[in-house]
Amino acid sequence: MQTPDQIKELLNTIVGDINLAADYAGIVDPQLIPIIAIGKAVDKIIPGLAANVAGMIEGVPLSQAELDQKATELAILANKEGI
Amino acid sequence: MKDKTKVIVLCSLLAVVSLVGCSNFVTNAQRTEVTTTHLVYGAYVGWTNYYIDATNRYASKPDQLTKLEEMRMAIKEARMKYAASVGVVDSWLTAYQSNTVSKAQVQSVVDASLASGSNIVWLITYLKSNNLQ
Repeated sequence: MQTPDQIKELLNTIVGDINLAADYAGIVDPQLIPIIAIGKAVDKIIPGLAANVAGMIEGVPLSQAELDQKATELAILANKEGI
Repeated sequence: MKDKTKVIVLCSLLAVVSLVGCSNFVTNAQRTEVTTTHLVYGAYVGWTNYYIDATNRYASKPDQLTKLEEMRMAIKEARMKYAASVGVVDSWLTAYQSNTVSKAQVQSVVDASLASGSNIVWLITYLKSNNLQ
């Protein structure tokens, strides 16, 4: 059983690897730029996921900031005018 | 009199235990919901980046643009369904906290939300990897 800190470290390592791979891919083949954009998006969500997994393991209730972030994300996902 | 005290203490203990159990379940359900939402949102942001890039790349290829538009509509429908299902889960969790529904019922809607979340992430991955050459 991994501790929350170990999970955070693991996910941060994954983020580092994604960034490194994305940078190399952009140099090797410019057509891979869409994949790089996706990689950068993952870069933004992984730290949040890591914190949330840790909170789930520790049974920490959601903070107001987390509730606000969820509401913001849901509003974007529910937007009828969006892409 | 002693028996009455024991019953009161026992009832109080049961109430505390059930409140703790309820609180843990709701916390876990909310955290699961936030995790799924975060993942779906991340996938969607990745998709919008891809969509904008692909629209520019295929500007002179009507067939590809038509496919891209079909993908956009499918993903839009999936994300809106997901947001709606999270709203349903939230209302069930509120009901659960006021003890008007059973745990099993709430668990089933949380599972439905997770399935809905994984569906949109799968759809985005599938469409991006298979539909445009």
